[in-house]
Amino acid sequence: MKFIDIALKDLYQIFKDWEPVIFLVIAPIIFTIMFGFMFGGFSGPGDEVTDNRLPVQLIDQEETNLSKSITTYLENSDILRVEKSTTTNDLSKYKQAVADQTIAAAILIPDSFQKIVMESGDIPLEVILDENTTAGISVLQEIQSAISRLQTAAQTADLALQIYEEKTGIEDENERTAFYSKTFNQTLNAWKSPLVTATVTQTAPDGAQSTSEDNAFAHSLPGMIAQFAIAGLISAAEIIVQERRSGALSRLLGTAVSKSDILLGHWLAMFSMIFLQFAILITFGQIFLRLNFFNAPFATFLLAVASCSVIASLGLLIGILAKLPEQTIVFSLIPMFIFSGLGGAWVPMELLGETVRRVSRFTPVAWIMTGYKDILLRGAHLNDVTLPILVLFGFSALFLIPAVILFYSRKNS
Amino acid sequence: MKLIAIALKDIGRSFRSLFALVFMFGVPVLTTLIFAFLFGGVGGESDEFELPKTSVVIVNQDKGSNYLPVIENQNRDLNSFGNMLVNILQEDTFMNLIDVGTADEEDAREMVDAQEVGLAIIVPPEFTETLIGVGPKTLDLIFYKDPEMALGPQVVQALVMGIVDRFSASSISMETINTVLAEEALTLSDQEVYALYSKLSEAVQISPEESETGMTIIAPQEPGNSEESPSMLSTILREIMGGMMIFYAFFTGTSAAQSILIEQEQGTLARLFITPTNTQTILNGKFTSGFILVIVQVVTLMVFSRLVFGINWGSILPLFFFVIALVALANSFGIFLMSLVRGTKQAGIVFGAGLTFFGMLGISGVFTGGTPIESAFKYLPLLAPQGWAMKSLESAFSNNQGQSLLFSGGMILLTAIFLLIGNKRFKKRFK
Repeated sequence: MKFIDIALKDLYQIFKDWEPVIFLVIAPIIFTIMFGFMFGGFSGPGDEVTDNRLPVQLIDQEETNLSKSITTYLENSDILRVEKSTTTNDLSKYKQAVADQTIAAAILIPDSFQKIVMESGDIPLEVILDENTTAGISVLQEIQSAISRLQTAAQTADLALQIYEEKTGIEDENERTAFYSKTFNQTLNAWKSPLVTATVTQTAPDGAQSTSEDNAFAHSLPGMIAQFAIAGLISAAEIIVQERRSGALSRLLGTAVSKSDILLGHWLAMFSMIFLQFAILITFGQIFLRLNFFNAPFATFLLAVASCSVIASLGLLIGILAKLPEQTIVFSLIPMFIFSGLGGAWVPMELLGETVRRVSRFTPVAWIMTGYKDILLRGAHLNDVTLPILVLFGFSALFLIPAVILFYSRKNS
Repeated sequence: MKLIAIALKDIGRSFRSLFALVFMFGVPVLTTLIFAFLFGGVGGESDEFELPKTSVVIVNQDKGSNYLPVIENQNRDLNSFGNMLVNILQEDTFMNLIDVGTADEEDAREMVDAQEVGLAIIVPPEFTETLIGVGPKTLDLIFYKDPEMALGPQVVQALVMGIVDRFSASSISMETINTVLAEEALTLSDQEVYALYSKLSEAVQISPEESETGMTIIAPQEPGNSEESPSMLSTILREIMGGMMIFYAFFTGTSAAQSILIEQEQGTLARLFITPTNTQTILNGKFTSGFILVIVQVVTLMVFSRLVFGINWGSILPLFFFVIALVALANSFGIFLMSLVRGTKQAGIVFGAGLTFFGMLGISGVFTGGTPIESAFKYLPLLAPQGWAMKSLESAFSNNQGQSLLFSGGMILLTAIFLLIGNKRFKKRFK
């Protein structure tokens, strides 16, 4: 039971300052929220609807019935929040606003708009946007969809006008324009209730296949827990280095404490520290981020045990490898960045190429995230996350074996 | 000369420290390198970020309609809009975006659940009948997606609904024309209806990619050379590297100022004070080493990222003022922070908590840009000095020179305040 005393001593040393709390709890919460919003944020069933539409300036240089009907159509968009602008002669101002990301785009309806639409059926909108930003891509997609419908309206109005002319023989330009505008407007109105609508469904967290919204925190929380658990190793690994440098280890070995007790004690301290972090952050996710970890409590628990086991073994290896206390910082941060970055903690895997996805399978963070995402997004239970758990224990052995060999082979240990 | 000697000694010590080197250069470069690798900029086939293909399986349950004439396309009979949809999605035009297969509903759902495909599209039996106005008034096209995926299925959904819009267009146009003519007491003969329907159907055959829209896309202001438009990858890396550079410049500045506390605890500062060197010279030597270290760090990172990642940092003038202001602010903030603490133990807390918190707040715009909370984080970063630096750099990116200079001016003002307080406190302490 001596290893428990060593573990308790380590834990006292770690938690006597409040610094570890920053890395273990506060930083992962802040980053989870930031990354969560970055990849979709708090959208979920039962949310109050807030206006998160992308701001777009609309400059109508023509002010005809046709241009007004297009303005009205765009104002009803679910993606764009159209703000009409009165300044029409300074495009550079709008270009700068888009570049500064004050607005997502600016749409200009030119003064020859109605004439071009009626003559060619084209929709000559001028759109200022940055195609290299997510906001720009979203706006472009929405405008393209709108233009497709506007073209249909133009084509419909054109065909209706041809028939009307044939049947009535009208030649008055004002009457022709009025009929065209009326038909154009009615077609646009018809699009408000399309024949076919899209219904998106996905496997809900309770395992049922139903309409469900994404919860981006299901991605960011497991990633940030894993990342900052590795960062939290700095203080724990430093204790091992200080113990060796101060001669306390030699003195300890002169007593009846065995090498295995010392190793196990340090490992247990790291495991307990990280497990506490997992417990706090999982509870935080369950209560505040509506992540249903407790839907599969057994799977959540075992996955946490496997994850903490990997990180504790890595911490032990770092503590044994580092010769100076400051080296523990470097040795902890480098695997933290590599494992987290390549493991998918920063960017969802769907955005990454095949090569990166293959490489990520060689990082423990990817398996921690796979296991938790299966629980949170697909309603997985223990038997569904057996593979990630086994792989994580494999990683744990991979870090633990060299740590043990090094510890036993060193003269001063 | 004493000032230079003190500065050189501190600089030499910093460059011999693995810890300092990792924070000054290693971490910012490593982070950017990882992002570059993730988005295909390192070791990838292309220098551009491309959205990976989404695997899609279509469940085509559409039973078609006898009213729909059979259309031949590449020796295939397209007797339903469901078949047409599959045919269009399998065209070469979309091969960079999607991999399309077909399956029955049960298999398709299983494939999504097993993550073999990202999305299943279920086309209902009455699809064609609804589109030509002889079936149910409206119906749902089901998109069953992998819950882990968001962007890919969203892109495919937009694509598919664009095609479906074209299918719907004939019916919507037909109904509208009938309505407007009826309002004018006019009706169409069966022959006219058929001719009109043929004209409207022609539009359905045109692939969305082939159709002309008349829309013109204008790029916003770009940094420096307006002809050089940065790629999405370059934009991402620029934001990341910029944020990391600012974040760690403040670490370097504070670390340099910390040497005053280290020397004080080691007793070497007291020894220095008994030499014929006045306090201000010693402190100035310390400040100078910090200034030089941050200049070396910032310039090295900028040049390195320009050469390796091809990052365009923007116009020279605002960038020059940004670098000067960043170096001054990072150091003065470090001096200010260190003047508040009593020893290196407290300094550790300042490093761990203070700098991390202010740093993350300052560069939060990198993470919140384009998200629903972007507006909330528009001015919040300005509570941290790092926020002023980030705003100045972002303004330089977007070639808004006036704004960039304004924020750089704000940084200089903050520098003066921090230096005044820090210097006063240190002088008081060592009196």
